[in-house]
Amino acid sequence: MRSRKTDAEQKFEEILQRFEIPLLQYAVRITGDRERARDVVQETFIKFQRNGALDRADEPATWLFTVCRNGALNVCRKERRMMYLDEEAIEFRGTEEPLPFDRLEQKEAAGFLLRIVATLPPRQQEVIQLKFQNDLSYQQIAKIMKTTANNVGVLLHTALKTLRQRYGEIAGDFIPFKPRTTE
Amino acid sequence: MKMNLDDPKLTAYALGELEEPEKSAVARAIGDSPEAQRVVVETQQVARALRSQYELELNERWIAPRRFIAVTDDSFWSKAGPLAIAAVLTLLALIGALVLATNRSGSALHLAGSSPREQAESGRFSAVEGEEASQFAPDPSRDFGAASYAYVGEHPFVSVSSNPHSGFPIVVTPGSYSEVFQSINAGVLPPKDTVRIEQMINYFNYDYPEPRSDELFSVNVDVAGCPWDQSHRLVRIGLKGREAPRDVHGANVIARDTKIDVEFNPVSVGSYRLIGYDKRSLKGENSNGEGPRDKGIAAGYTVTALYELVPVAQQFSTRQTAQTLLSAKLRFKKPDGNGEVQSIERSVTDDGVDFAQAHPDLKFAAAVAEFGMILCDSGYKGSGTLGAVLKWAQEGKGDDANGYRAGFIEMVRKTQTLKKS
Repeated sequence: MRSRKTDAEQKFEEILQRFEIPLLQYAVRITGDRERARDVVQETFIKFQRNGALDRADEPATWLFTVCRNGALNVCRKERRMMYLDEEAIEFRGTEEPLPFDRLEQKEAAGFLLRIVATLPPRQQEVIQLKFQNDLSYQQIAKIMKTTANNVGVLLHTALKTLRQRYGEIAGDFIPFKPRTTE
Repeated sequence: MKMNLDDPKLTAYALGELEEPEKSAVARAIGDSPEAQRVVVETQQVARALRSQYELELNERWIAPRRFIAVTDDSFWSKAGPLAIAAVLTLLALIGALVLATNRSGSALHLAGSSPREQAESGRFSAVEGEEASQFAPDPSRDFGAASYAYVGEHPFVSVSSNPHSGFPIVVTPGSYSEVFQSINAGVLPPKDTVRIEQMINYFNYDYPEPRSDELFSVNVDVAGCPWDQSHRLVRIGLKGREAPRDVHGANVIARDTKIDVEFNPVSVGSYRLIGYDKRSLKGENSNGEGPRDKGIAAGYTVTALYELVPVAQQFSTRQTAQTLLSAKLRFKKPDGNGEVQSIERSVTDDGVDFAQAHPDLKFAAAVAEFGMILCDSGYKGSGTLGAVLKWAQEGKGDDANGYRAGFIEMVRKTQTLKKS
């Protein structure tokens, strides 16, 4: 048995520690199924090791999310699930429908903003999660989602517009705004 | 430059994504527009709130990683083989039970006596090399060595957000049950393709209330914990047609073109799976999964369908208030009517009933469903065993005036013997 971890092992564990849960949550939201998500994330880390991605990637986030996303979409295709992130399914669901919670309850609930996120169209949910959970740049997100940084900007802008409105309506606690004037 | 509030650049600026010279240009434009300034400030507030809520969510660990163990030496398994597997399975089952139990209560995952960090590290795989990496211990919820998804005709889990509507054929014949019964009685496990779970479920009578005086059908829905996957919910939808005397032609045909539309609420249901109704048996299925048109429903007809639901991630249920789970809408035409479509609709909330407290009929139907899934080695059979099927069937046996359910229980026992031999 090894008594000390090698540097590579140490680094790998750090990456596992940092990305495993975010990847699981990402995969669950694509596959709609925890068990499949666990398979996908396990497979992602195995590939990560085998391909020596550890050595090459200074910034493993893009690599991991891309491979995880592909894996999750493959599961959807194989099992002929309705694809959560299918291009055709984009904008499938309207965002008009109010959530059946009363205001007070929403405000009290710690994760109420995430509940609003869950009502957004799938690709908007995806950019929000990649941006604010994982702090990725427009460029990185574009690479993962196989689209352009411009498109990521549009998706984020649209999503945040809805979130701003709903957040204001429900929480009503935007910090009072004072316009500043130009010199 | 006049700032358009619908310009994605405004959001990119607020999030610090712009580079020079664009950044300065947008900054100047914003200076002239109090509205644009407000958008920037509010966007940043929402961004902060999102970041902190995602962080909380991560700490809640609403999805536990799989506990897998790396195998670095093949010979270890060949030498220590069965004992080691048994030990690993026991350990994993224990951890699995804890994970399920804590997940179910919606709380963060903690093992007694260890910090989340220690606990997270203890179960993780250490670095592994080469091809051995794929040889992980099996998931405790599956039979060791069993091939998953060998049976391809089943309905998969479908995401509610992309497809909230589901339906199932109203007309079900119970033929498969007899085939399975005869085969097992003769000492042979039935071929997988003779096992039609919906037909087996509908071989049995379930006690549904008579329709209200102003309605032709009673639409009955109940919900309980899913016995083969504790994190899932099991929904039973039962329809019963009104009893009616035969008409002058000797027929008691009461409705036609009957269709059911089940709509799941994305707020409470993440995904769903219709149990049974194997796709290969639905030759005449249309795009809505409704199956062939019925030529008429007889008086007193009943049909039962089961759905397995994956509830919406637990981090959202900080309050245990019951949400609408689904609504079921039955549409039909009266046989003597002028083609006018009538409908009956029911909405259901999930009161969080455990399987132990479920209606006996639901328990029995669940036992039949799981038995069918075990027979066809379904990828969705979860943690259920023949022993568990026996227990559920006995708990759900009820009066069993005609002895059909006792016959089922006997058949499960025979299957246990056949599987062992």
